Amino acid sequence: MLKLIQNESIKIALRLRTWIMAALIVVIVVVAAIVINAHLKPNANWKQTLLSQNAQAEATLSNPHVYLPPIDRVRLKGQVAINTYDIAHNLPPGHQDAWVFTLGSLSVGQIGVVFVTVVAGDIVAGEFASGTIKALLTQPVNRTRIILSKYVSVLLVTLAMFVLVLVSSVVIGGIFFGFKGVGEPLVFVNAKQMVTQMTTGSFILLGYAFALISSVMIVTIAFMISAVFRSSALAIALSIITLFVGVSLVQLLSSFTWDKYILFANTDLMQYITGGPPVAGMTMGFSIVVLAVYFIVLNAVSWRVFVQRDVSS
Amino acid sequence: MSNEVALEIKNLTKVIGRKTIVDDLSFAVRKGEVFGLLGPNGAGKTTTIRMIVGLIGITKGSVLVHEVDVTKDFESAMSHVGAIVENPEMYKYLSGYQNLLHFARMTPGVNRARIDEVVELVGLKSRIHDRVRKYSLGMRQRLGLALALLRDPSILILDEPTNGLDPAGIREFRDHLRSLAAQRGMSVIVSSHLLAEMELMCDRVAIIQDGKLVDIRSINEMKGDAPTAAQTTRFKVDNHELAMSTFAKADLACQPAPESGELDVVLDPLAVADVVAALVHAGVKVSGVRTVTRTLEESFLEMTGEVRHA
Repeated sequence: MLKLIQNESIKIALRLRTWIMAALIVVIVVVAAIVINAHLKPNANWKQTLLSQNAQAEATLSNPHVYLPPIDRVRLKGQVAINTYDIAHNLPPGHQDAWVFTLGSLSVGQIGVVFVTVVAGDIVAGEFASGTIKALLTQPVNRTRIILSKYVSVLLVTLAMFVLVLVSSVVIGGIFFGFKGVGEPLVFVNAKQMVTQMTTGSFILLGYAFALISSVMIVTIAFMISAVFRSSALAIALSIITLFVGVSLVQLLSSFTWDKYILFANTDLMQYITGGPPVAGMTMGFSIVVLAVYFIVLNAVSWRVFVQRDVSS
Repeated sequence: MSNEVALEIKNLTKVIGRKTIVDDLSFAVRKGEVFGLLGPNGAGKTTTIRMIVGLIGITKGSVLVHEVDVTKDFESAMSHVGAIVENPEMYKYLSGYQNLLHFARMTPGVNRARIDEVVELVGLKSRIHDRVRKYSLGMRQRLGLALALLRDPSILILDEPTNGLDPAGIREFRDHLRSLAAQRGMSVIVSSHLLAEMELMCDRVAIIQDGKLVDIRSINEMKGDAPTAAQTTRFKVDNHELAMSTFAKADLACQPAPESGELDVVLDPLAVADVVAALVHAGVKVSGVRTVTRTLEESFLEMTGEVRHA
């Protein structure tokens, strides 16, 4: 089995496009660092600004004549708490260090998911398109082992992509903004609408771990479409569309109770740390169960279709 | 050639939708023989081969590789089989060597020494580290053969192996097959719609039409050129009546040859000299005598009862 995974990984690693995509990720991180660096304007009076911001917010919050939706009320309270913290710890707003930068790079990870989807969408369909599937399936290896090795390789590529984003962000962010600050607390509004804090380091690990989980789901969809329809283009296009449309769809359907069973209502586990779930009453445990069910069903479909398929033409 | 059976096919049937592509096919391939599947395009040859190597499911019947059922223990059955199904497709972005290395990892016991050995055997040594993208069709065919031979199979299965090869390539390929069967005792199964080619390659041929087995014949018996058997002999003579009466006296049936205006007589090769002497003696001028070898094509058309030109 290890040799089969080795085979699949080599086939991915020896393709030029893999390295172009990896280089693109690093380039995007560098460009992001340059842009952020150019916009860092130290404001000598930042403490004053924050203090007056806070005074204004407090006034709004205590004014009985101003109607404020509960969500905005919480946001405002959160902002006040964050400002107060920054003043007390002498942290200018919008300050950067390697770790804050790395947290921001999670959005680069989103682009990375698109790249990994290309690999996942091609890994089975590509063998059919090139005809190499015939040689692959006439070896003394049964089809279950073949598809499993392909799936494991896709997961390895997904993991490698996030490691690349994480490591390149820490290194490049460190070069631009310094490495200090991993233990600094990060102040945020949690899912229960309370102002909370966590060290930046823990927040990064949590953020990347949860992003990895949601990416695995997207990649699994791409893999399934690849295995079922034998078309790389369809697999890549469909899974990228679901990646971007999925979340809006969940918001659109949030008035229905079954909305919470939609995959994309559950992919982002970060919603239980900050922001809150799209449908009230959802818990992290619920989402994990839903994700597990989708995961099993998608993979069962891929496996069954691949193992049973007649390879003709 | 021994009588040991390497591959046995029993009542093999494939139904797709309502169409029966392969219909109750049974045959056995002996150790060390080159066995041909012959039939027009769409007869079910490729479907049969794909069922043997597990690329498509079997509706009914079984495929036994050294008595191991392919559907029951695919891995152990396939460890004896090397196959090229239609064109040998390889990973174009890898070199020939990397391709072989890739497939070697899928079979226990195939090491780099073995790869070098097959590369040498198919004569690709000088170009093996080039990317397959740069290979000619002939080179890809040779790489395909190298791949099929990689795990030293006792059964080699080739579907339309000479498609797209030039005459020199076909000849080379055929020589490879014959020597593999003769020297290594490998059983080779080839499919083709080209009769002339099968005639040169195979020991026995299964003729398939509309998914059904029409007949299995050894090439020698089909061509009827066993040296002691009676053969059709064609005489070119000036006087037909005189010649015919001479044949009649010798108790030989004779009939005019199609198109040429010559006379065909079926007789023992050893008797040809005597018959010629009798004709000369009777005053017939004999300007030509030759034996007519039936081609496989003629036998094939006779058997399938079809007028079709390959």
